[in-house]
Amino acid sequence: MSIALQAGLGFLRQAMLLAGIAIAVFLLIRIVPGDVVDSMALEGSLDDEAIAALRAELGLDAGTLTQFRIWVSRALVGDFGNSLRFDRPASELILAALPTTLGLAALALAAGLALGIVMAAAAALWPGSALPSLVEILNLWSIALPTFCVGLAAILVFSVWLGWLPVIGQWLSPVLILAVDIAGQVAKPLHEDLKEAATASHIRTARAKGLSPARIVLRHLLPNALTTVVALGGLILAGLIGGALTMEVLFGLPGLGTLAYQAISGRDYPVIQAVVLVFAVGVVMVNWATDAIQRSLDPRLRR
Amino acid sequence: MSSYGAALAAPPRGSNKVGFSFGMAILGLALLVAIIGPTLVPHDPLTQELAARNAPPDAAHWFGHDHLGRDVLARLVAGTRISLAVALGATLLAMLLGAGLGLAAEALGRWPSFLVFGVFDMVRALPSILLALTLMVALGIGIIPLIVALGVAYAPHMALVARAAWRRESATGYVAAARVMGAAPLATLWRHVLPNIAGALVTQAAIIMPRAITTESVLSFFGLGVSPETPSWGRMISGASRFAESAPHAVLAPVLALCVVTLGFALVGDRLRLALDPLRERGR
Amino acid sequence: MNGVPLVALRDFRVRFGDTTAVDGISLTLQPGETLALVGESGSGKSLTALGMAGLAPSAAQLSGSLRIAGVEMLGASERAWRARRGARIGMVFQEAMGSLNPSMRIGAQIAEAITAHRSLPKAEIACRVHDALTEVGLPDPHGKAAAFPHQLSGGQQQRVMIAMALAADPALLIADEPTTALDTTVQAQILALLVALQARRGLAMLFVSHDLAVVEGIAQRVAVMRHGKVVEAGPTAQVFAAPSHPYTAALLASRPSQAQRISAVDRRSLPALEIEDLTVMFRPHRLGGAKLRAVDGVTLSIAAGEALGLVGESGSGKSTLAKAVVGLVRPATGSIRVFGHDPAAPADRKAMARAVQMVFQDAAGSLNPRLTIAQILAEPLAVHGLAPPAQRRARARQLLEEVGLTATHLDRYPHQLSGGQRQRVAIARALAVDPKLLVCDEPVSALDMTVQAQVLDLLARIRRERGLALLFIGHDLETVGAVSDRIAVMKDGRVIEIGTAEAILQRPANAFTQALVAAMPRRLAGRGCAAELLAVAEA
Repeated sequence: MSIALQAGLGFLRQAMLLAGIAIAVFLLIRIVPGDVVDSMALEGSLDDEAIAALRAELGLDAGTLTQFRIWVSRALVGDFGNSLRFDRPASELILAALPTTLGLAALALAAGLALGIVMAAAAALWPGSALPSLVEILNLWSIALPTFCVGLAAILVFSVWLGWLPVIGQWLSPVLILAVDIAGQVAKPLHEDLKEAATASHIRTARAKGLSPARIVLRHLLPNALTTVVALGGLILAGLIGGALTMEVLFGLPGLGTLAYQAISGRDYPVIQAVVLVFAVGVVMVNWATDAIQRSLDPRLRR
Repeated sequence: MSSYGAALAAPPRGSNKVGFSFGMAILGLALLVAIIGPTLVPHDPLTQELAARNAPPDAAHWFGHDHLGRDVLARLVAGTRISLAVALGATLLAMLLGAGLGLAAEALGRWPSFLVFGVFDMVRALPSILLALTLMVALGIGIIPLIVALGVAYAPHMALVARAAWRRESATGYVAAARVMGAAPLATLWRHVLPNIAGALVTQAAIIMPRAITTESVLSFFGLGVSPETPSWGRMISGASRFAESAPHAVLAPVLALCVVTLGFALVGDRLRLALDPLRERGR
Repeated sequence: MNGVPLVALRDFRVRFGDTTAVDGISLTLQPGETLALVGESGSGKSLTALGMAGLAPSAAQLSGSLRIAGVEMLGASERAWRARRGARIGMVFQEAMGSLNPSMRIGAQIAEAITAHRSLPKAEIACRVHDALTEVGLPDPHGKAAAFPHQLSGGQQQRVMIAMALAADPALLIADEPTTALDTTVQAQILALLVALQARRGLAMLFVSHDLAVVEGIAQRVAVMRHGKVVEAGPTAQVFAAPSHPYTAALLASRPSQAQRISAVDRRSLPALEIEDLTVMFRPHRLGGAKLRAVDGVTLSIAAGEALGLVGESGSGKSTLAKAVVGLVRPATGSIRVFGHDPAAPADRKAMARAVQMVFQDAAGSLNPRLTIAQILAEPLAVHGLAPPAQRRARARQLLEEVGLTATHLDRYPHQLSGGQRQRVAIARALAVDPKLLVCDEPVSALDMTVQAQVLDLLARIRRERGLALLFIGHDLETVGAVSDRIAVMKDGRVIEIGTAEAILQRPANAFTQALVAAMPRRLAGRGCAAELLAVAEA
């Protein structure tokens, strides 16, 4: 199968996944007894006529299948309806919040990967030093300490007690905390991979040819080990989304996480649906990209 | 084994044993606290002493009071029970749902497997937090919905691990030998295939449990998760974080508890993985 | 032959903590000479070879003296070693596939070997890569240079390894079991290639092998190692004709001989095996991809008590055939009858299991690592109700004794046994149900030579005592020929020739069979001349 065909099939698979998620998200919200109009009715005083009129306007009186059709057709053009809380289109809110979340995620990912790869490579090059232990500690840190807790601790220490940093609005702490978490997830598997690869036969051949250690690491060890990193990409992203969510709320950053939090507390269903869908699209795209990258890195997978 | 091969076989790492014991001690303590703790602590987790709001720790109240005048230690201990119960429940549900469905689908054939694992892929595509959030919006708050949400979120991981172990075991020479021997398929399953799958599942459980605890805390922090009065660690953190400056003890206690327990799981899980990983058994 | 030896080891020792893997050996290698280093697993031969290139594992402690071209290299810096590796010393390893970087093109890997020591303009490097590939006999050098390792066959990969090792014009080539993983015919070609290259370039060569017969034709001197010591060394002809050490004599004697062939054929009873026009399909890739015929219209039969040997190279379909006989795979067309039963029919399953059993190539893989030997042997007894629980242990002990093992092994786990012992346990398990046909799929290929001889002796004895019919599968005509009454040769799923062992070995009719026979190491040794070997390669 050619690369293009494989990529196409991968894309199809992801698209089906997305469709499935969309259906699930839509249905889940509908499971809740009573709909948005009911909760609005509880808050204010609306008489039955107004309730019925509102229902008709929001299209909530039609059957579920019709509603789904309407929702999908609107969603495809980016119309998710209006936020109940802010009375603005949900898509507008999302677009406003997107840059913050993307920025946070991108910075954290870049810093985390860089730190993780460098630490793993260094630990492989100097096995007698303290570096391998550092990699272990880093790994333990990311498993045992949820970013949530570290964020709280950071606020307590740096903002409340030491007063060095403001609590709200700063990017340094969240990016650092997420980066260290990512580095912890990447460094140990990569280090294990490098160690194992170092005893691999083709590395022995490279040494037998008289190649310098630098060339061996750069040209023979790292490229093959990077497939590990890419494979971890999916896991990292999952943690990153959850982490970004909590970091945004803790540090008061106006991103998708804060938006989701507010929407959930306020039972703002259109926004919840929209946010979940946006996240799902993001995850799906990343999965597809990592699959494609893996295939280009390892010629054996191309067949 | 050639002498070169013998040289390459890595010597066992002693440090892991220490970590394992430490981890087991932590978990053991947590379990103890969860089971008999509430009966030992003299104070009630729900009683509010408004006069003692945010009071620092003293002789009678070792961890002080929270922002509503409740005894932090009592709430911490009660929270242990909840956290462990949720984690255990969610993990068991994930195992039953994930491994159970996954293995059944695998045994039935290519198409059932394709369908079931396709659904699992969909579930897995959403990060667990998001999934749990969505489910809770639909199911409402409380312990049972929480366990269901988390169990569903982690089922795919169990399914994948179970399937990988199944495939690996089914391809071994000794399973083939058992077939040639004329052993009944079910007997072969029981004798040769399942023990190894169980090992892989237990290792995975050690990874999922701390995640479940953390996710529960995050959900409770966000207002979902357990009901408002229930003293889960996440709720405690959520409530106390606003008063972090004046009453740090109320935030520190649950945060530390969370970190210590996840650390315990991490230490135990690492050792379990090394012990049960069948690939390493050869080099023993 | 006088002057400074190219390599001189004196009291060379390699230790790992308390274990001594190489125990004070002394060897010399003159320029242009081939020295063979022969021994079984654990003898320390590979470590010695690696040590000569400074590639011993970092945990190893080396002592003694190692001189390369007169310069003491023990304790030399890594930089000093790097200057010599590739430029003075070239190495070829056993598994070519694992030894090549899977994500780098062949041409780039060879070029790297050159540029590590000299800087040359791109055009010239490309030229040299082209020459290197041509020198090792690879057709379409241009295409090969652009290819990735997994696109080449095992033999071609090994040629690439050799090209890479010689790219920087070293004076010494260290070959560590370079042909062990290859098919017999390919093995002959690679050996011929090495001999030709050595003659053309005046190379010195250290050839490490576990098989004495292979080195007989290509080495001027041979050193035999055992448990880290050199037990005997000297000119090849002399060592082979009159070995002075009993171990060497044992190694020489462990080549399969006709003594193991017993005839117990019983043509009056129901035939043990009857295969007619059998076809088995096989799908190489999980999703899509065409199905191949692993077994393509095979017809053969085995009489009760007869031993049929099935020879073929990798991919010939012999293993698939074996699996079909025991019911592990279903035939697409054709029929199989084992003592009249159909192995694939579920109703006959249990009866089938009593009639035919299998011994697999990978003994370790066929024994559940979590069960003790006693438990493994008890399983067939339990499944077929052959002994009540109280007596199973005693029965297990009997079985162990029959295969030459003692009861001390009963409570051990498979990983605590040696390769040969594990294979004996596998045979014992197969015998537990008292079968009348034993299918052995390459049962001794993974074992040391002396152990191979012991297991083959065991099989012969069991056949004699129990009147077993045997389907013996192998890739090596010598081993197969020693135990079989008749031999069938398989290629690409078909049986291309079948006849008595005598006929096949002495008067092969088919061209492929002839090539197989010619490639047998014993035959190679008989010639001992490079030109003759080249003639084999061209065949």
